[in-house]
Amino acid sequence: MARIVDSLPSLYSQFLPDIFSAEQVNESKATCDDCAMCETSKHSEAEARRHTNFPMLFSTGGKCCTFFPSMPNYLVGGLLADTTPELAEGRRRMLERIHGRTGVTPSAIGSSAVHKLLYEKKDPFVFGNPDAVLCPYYAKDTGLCTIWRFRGATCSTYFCKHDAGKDGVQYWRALKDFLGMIEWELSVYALWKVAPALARALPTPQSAEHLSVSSTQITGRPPSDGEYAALWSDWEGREAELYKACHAVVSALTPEEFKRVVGGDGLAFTSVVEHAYQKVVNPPKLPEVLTFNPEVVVKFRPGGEAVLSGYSMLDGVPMPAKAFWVLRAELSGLKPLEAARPRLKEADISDELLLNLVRMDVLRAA
Amino acid sequence: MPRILDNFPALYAPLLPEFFQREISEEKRATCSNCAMCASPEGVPPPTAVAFHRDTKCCTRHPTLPNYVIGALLSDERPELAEGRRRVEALIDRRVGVWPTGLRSSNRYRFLAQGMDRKAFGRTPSLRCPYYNAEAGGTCSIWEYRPAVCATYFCKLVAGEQGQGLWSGLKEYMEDAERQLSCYATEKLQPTYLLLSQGAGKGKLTAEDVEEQPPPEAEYTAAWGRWVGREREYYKACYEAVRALSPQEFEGVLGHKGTRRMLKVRQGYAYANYKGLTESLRFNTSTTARMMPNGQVAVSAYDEHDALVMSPEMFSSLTEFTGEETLAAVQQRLREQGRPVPEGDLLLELSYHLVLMPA
Repeated sequence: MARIVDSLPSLYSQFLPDIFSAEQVNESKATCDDCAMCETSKHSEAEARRHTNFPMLFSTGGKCCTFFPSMPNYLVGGLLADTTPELAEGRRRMLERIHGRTGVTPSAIGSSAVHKLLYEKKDPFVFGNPDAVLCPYYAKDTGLCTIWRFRGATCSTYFCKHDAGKDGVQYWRALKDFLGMIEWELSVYALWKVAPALARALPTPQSAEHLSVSSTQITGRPPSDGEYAALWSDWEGREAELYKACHAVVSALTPEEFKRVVGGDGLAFTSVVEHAYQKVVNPPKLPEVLTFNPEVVVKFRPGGEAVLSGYSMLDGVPMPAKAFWVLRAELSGLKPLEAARPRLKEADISDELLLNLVRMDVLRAA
Repeated sequence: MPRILDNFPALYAPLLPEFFQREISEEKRATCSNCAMCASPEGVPPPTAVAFHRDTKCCTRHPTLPNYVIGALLSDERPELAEGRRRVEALIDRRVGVWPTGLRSSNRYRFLAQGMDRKAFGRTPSLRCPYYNAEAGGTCSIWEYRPAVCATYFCKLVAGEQGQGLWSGLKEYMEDAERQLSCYATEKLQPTYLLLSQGAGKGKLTAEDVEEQPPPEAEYTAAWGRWVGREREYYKACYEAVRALSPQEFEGVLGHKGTRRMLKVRQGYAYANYKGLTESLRFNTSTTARMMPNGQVAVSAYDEHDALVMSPEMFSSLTEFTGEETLAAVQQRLREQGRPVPEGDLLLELSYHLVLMPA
């Protein structure tokens, strides 16, 4: 049985709370190896479009990796300390980033301030378009992530489609929030242990909304020698060493120490993950009276098929258009499901499909 | 002299670190009972660029009250808090901004407050705090239970810029304690709310938000679960959960972040109490000087709300501090020229206010 923690960087397995030993949530529709949102050699554009109402498909040149992740110091250190050949390209890219200095700080390696601002303001449909932005760790030739085993919170928890629909979104978001919180807390804690003076000088992280861009940053150039020296002090030139030392600190944490580091936030965020997980693994029962979510998007495709999206435009449920019209007529919230069953059965609409549509937030309890 | 912990609700006394027993200067220049930022009853403006509104003073903010603080207030039966209890209960009954983690402003209010120009602070009666008691002479009806944002705000500081670090450190520490303790109590009593509240308050305003109406019944019921209609009881239970914590458990709830925040408090405390001057000082060219109707000059540098009032001649003397001579040499030269000489407490105040800075 694969556990939740098995999909995360391995150092977490020694201290994360019990819930992370529960069975992993499988997202069978988000097929990264054969991207469900792309036209690939294994499936046509038409096949991809049968399962989405997103206005455009992702490009095979980037898939969903059109995001620049921020990597906490200890995960950078873990990657650099790893000696396995399959991560050689990832290490090379990470060292190149360190050498380039942009976004390289004692707590994390991320994108430039200008990039953060532009990304914040992007049109939602820029997502999946590698011409606009491509993750620096994405290998175009293989379509794979070069730092996969050390990927951070956002990448570990993103799926374009969810088997459990709305509950799945909630679960992965809870996990992302938890991991995001510990990434910050652990990176500051590790820095505190390794280089206390740098930890004390750390600025409070700013959201893009409150970010101000310095005169150097706005040019897109790396920080000046003076700015960089102020940031790194006597660790300048030894950045990789610092990152590895931070990794060593976090790797040595026991569950009890971890709890002490993350405090009440750890308790609250874990509780959220637990509740969200229970919703995913315990499917809801069919409500007695069903109606359509008023915000459902339906697109009719050639060949007499309708694609229905509820919780997300990225995820679509295909069904015969005729069956859709029966659903529309029978499930208007005015009569119990039992009374609608005969006509639903005639249209081959099973309870399993209805339940899936409830999870997809296409149908709701009236 | 008061202790640091005297600035915060008494419920924290058994929990806060030993450091909070230390003495702290009373912020005598921030005279809340006779607001130093308001024009006098005769209409004389304060020596600052803007004046606060007499009907609001600095209370143009609706603070979030953590669940356990509400519970503590509702459990406190002293008559002098009756008005505060009444106001809190009225807000609970209204169901706007009433959540298991605490009482918040409406989303419409927050939207306005976030978009407000900083200079509008203290001047907007429509954003007056709901706990502000105008009928009782502009006092706070929940004063003994006021949250960190209110307990650590002063328009003027005795130690000027040197005091800012201490109060901002205390604000961060206590605000984090409020947030973590309210989540801790919610996790004990109504944990599903933590899941439901993911990303709350980050979206756009709903129709109910714009009209300042309660959320839809289903949303409210889902948030409160078995506590619907028993919100007062819930808040009191939160108070009991927090009251049962030992100092060690409290430290555990704050986590390593608490340790880091505490360091900032300690550093701020040391800086606020530092009374040394460097051998050479220079006049801060970012200083703002405003001529007052009585001929005096109001001088401010670190914060436009905090000005020192002096004669134009004294102000003129300050510009002689260029940092090229020692402090004693400039003072001697001014004396020889028969001009006013900044010395003693005034010199220290000018340094606190960053009007004179180390050269």
